[in-house]
Amino acid sequence: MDQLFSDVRILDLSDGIPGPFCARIFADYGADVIKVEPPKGDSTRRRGPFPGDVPDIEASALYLHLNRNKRGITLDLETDTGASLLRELVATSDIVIESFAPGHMDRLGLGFEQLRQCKTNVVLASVTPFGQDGPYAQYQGADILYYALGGMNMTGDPGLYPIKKAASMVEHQVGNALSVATAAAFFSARHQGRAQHLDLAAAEVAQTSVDRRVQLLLGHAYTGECSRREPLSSSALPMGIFPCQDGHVQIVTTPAWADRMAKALGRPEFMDCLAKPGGLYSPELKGDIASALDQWLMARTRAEAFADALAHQWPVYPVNSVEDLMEDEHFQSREFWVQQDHPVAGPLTYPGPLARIEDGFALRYPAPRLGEHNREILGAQLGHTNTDLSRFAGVGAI
Amino acid sequence: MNDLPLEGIRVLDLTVVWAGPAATQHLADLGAEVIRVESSHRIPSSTRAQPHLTADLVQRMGMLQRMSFPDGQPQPQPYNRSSSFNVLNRNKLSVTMELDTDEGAQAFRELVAMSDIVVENNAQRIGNRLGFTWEVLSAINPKLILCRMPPLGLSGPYADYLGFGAHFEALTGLTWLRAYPDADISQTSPTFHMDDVSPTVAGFMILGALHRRHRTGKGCLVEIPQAETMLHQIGDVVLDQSMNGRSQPSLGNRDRVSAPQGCYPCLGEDQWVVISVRNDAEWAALIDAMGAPEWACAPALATASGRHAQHDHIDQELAQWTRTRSKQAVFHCLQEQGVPAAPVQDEADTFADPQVTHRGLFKPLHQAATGTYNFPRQPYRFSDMPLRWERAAPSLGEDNEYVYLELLGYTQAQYHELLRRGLAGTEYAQERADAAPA
Repeated sequence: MDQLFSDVRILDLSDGIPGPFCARIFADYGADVIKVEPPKGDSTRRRGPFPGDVPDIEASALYLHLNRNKRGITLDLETDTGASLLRELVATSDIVIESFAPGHMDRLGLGFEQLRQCKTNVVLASVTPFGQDGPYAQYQGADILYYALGGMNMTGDPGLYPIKKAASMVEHQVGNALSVATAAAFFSARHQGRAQHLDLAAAEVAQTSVDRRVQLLLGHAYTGECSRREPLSSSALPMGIFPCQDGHVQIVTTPAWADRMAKALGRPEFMDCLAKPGGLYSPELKGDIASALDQWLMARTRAEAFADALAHQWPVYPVNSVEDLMEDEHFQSREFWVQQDHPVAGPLTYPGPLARIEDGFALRYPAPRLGEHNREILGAQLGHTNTDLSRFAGVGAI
Repeated sequence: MNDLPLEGIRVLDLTVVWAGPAATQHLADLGAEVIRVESSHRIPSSTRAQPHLTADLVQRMGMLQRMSFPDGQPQPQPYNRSSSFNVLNRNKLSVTMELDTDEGAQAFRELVAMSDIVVENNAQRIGNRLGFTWEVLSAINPKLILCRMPPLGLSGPYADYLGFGAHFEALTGLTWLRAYPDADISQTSPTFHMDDVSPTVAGFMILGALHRRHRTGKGCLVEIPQAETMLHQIGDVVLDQSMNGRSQPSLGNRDRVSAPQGCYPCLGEDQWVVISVRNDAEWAALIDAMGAPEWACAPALATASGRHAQHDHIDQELAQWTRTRSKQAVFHCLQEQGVPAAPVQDEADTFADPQVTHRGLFKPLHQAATGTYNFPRQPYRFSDMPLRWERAAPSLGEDNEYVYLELLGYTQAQYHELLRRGLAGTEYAQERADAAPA
């Protein structure tokens, strides 16, 4: 199978979510990704959730999710031997992904200038909270911090506090941004022969978020105004989350979809009211539509509202839990969910391909156990003997 | 030695709204010639602004529309003046072409034959009707990379369903997972996270497909089923469901591991700071930064499990401390002690952020329809490859002459016939002259 990145080797030195997620996307599409962990392992090995809530560094869900399709070794880069073994690996790799504080790789003798001595067209992809330079370069980051910088002020109810996105979605978004930038740097390195140091700041990913923020930044330059928490629209058309028989639905009704809504609700006269001057913003009409909608929704389950509205091409979607989602017929019929066995965590259901393409996604192996491939990679691949490996372990390098 | 990696690559951009234009923005910034193929008779909603918009009207619409136009004025030609279009379409060209006419379809086929990539993000039903299928386009150009971004994929029971990002977040559990834990779920406003995720994955897959084409000489179809693409953002939550049968509730601003974590009020109206304590050392540093108040020094709070158990209490005390301070003061005071904290920024805060200024996140671009403004660059930069920063977003049909006369080799007479019949143009035209062949 000739996958997109079958001819690419990546060293993933990064910790946490953004760097490992980026490397995993490459791994899903064929890259040979070697996860290089410190002897105590990646921090996500301790974040869980764990099977039965029993902590086990080999069975943390976050780690398993972020590191499938990778091989794994341990190297203590703080030791001379560890750093030297890494340089040997760089010589036969294309991309190095790292998330240390700015300057740390240089101090280890593994900075960009040193790495390009090992491999002339190496890509060094660095992801940090605020970037490689500037007054905040050494500041800490976290998922909620990034969203605070890029949209949290306008998320939630005006009378309540700003609220973040779910789980670690923004840190994953940073990993997505890192993947397209790393692919671009690699494309240049491979086809134009240039080494590249990529500098990606998680804060900047959030600050330029396509989820409205980037438009609103230019909008601020255009108008001097700022966003805040307020309803998406003040029109008479339903917009938001509404209760129905067995839960809630999400509705967005643009003026172009008003006729579909009126048909679905069985209230064609709403179109006549909307056509009058100022009709779209009439408080009376808003009240009439709201009560007709309430009646319609309270006669339906989420599934019924979804099907009946979409039959008129009016988008009304169920607000699902993750359990609902995993039982949903659409994703099941597309065989989106994939099963994989892990020697410690057992058989588990994972999200399948991010994108579909011929000879694309493949689930090759589960996330590596700590140091699982030390012998295979440092021994067989780099040509070190068993005596060497014992010596490396003796000095604490592996 | 500074030629960009995608120089010489031609992209036909049929995308609408946000996710599609943001995808091809990566390609344009990396040096590709990206040609937006647009209609001058039908302006897709939420892409270029609608022609009828007036200053009065946008004031009554939501925040996005109110902040969309220079000085709040959509006219003249709103479709050349909106922030949502202009910020996602720099370095691209625009040609108008009526794909549902014989002339437009013919010109499009000729363009496909001389292009490398086609990108579209319509619901699959619309894409199929317009002929953006792999069967049709690969017959014209087998080396083509066709990237389709239907929100629910090209197959399955919902494949024909349309919607916005907020709908797909509800369907995939993301809205459920971020609801207010202490208020009704209907008070949770929509977000559009899918528009953050799919453009980067589309860019990644297209670069991968181009790389493989170097080896194989063959094009391919790339399907970005946007809702599935976004589901990877909660892979750990999915695995928890799988390994423990546990359907996670919303944690609001809290975290499974870090504690305390939350959003705390600061001096001023609607001013907030977020704080996230990931471990005991950061908790100790937070206590130091606050001057070791008695409540915080309680031994029960020294461990994460203790802090989780008393999270409500900690939140109340922390809010007392932050309330008398500015968000900037709390941010710097905590970060200098190594405690993760950040101000909740609005757009003015971001423009005034010293880190943003230091790193040059904003750069000016001039556009005839609006003037000169500061635009945000991509959130990544390379040591040996400055991204392209040449041209603001194109006005509708701005590059008609280049595409019809230079690329397609039409004669002046042929081109003027298209203009006369309304089959090409630079202004929105409500009605189209008879499109049937003369």
